[in-house]
Amino acid sequence: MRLSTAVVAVLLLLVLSLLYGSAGWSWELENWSSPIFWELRLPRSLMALLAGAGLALAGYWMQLLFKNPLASPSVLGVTNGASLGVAFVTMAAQQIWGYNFPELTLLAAFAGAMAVLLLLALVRVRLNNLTSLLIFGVMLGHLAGALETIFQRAAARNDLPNLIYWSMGSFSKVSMPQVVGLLVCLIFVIFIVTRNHRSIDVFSLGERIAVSMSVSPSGISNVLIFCSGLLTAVITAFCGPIAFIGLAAPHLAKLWWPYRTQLRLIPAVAITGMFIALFCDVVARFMDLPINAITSLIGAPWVMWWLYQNKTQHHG
Amino acid sequence: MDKGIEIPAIHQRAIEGAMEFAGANLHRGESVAIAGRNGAGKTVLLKALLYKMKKNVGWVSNYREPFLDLRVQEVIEIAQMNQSNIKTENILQSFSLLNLRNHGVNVLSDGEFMRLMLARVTAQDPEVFLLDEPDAHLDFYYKEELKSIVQDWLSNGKVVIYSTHDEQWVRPASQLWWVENGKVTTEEAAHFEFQKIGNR
Repeated sequence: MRLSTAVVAVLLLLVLSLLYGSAGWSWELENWSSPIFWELRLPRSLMALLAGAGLALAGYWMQLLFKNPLASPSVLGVTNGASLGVAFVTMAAQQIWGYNFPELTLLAAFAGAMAVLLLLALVRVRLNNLTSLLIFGVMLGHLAGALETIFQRAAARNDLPNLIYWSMGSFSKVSMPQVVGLLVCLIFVIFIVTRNHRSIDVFSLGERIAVSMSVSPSGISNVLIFCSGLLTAVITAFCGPIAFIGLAAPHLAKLWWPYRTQLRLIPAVAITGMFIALFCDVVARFMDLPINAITSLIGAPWVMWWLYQNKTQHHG
Repeated sequence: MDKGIEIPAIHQRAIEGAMEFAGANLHRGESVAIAGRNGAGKTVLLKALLYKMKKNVGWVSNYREPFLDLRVQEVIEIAQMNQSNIKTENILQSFSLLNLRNHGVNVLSDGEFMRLMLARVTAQDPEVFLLDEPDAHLDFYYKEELKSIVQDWLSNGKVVIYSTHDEQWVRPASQLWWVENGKVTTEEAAHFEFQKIGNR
């Protein structure tokens, strides 16, 4: 597929997503300066666009880092880590100090995501078996999920619906400053990665080859951990935990484009993520369903199919 | 005059695999065969040399990195990083990889993968080549081919150090290093140990 085709498809989806919402088509609103359009639909569509790209890139870099096609923010428990951080500052803090810290949400999500990623990177040395590492990540996710449930149980009754809605994932409760914030993060992260693009390509050839080409494997690991962690944390803090986009987008991008080097695959992966996120968002709007239900309904069967397909051609 | 290439000494403790090696000074164009029984530490020695030297050193082994899906051509392009005096096409051609250039590394057979790794290290163009059992997985034809590749490197003034189980590979080497129990013996002592195994 040509990149320009994908850009046109994404733009069409973006327009469709801007034109429709729970209040009907945009041309049915009283006028174009309606706050429904400028304060709800525009940030929502733009957030879907940017979050899709961000989650897709985070998933892509995690798959590269862990050398595992099933690694992604949601599978490895990184989103759960971020959720736990958010649940802590919004609910547990309310119980303990009688005050919650909405302004710390971002920081807490970042700390949670980073904690999970660092833990995974640390045990990666011991668990050289990739399947074990993946299961370790899934278990970490369950642990974080359990703690989150405990916080929820402890939460005041009237706080609970907020957290439940948050955990369903949504692009709709965002503001324009948050959209700008994510855009800045995306630009920053892509800048860091493109500066190191050749070293990352060398890294994918394996530790010993990397050393022989004067690339530090641990240095590149840190770059990948930081970049994918930052994106996951910011997106989870703003939109809630969103599953499967990070897992599926890199694989779809590789299905659609033949390139495999950083510089060529980054735009492809980002565009694919935007496409999936906008598509799911549009479906979610028309059917009035939470975004996580849509991504999981599409994503989970897809992963099952992928596993089934690849069983025969896996190299030992 | 040729100052030769310094191969560093290794004093490694048991935690990374015990290894004692006094170091060596090799002339350009010299090759070294590292022999020893299974598990004696041939790979440990090569790896220790790699981590010690880090610069101007090339690495080839038959280990396949999981989830490596770069295309054949991209692997060569990445290796050419700083210097691109040799054309990607020419390298692919001389390793019979031209028709596989757009294939993913993950679909290559073991023999094709080994050829790609040899092509990659040729493109990288280091001073010292470290090869961990380079003839594993190669069919009869490419084993002969590999000998001429190594010969090319040597005649270009490179140093080639490889581990092997095969007497055919020990004979042409300028030096033999024998590894046993994490210790490296060289010169006559190494040949003596190697003969002992061969004559049993």
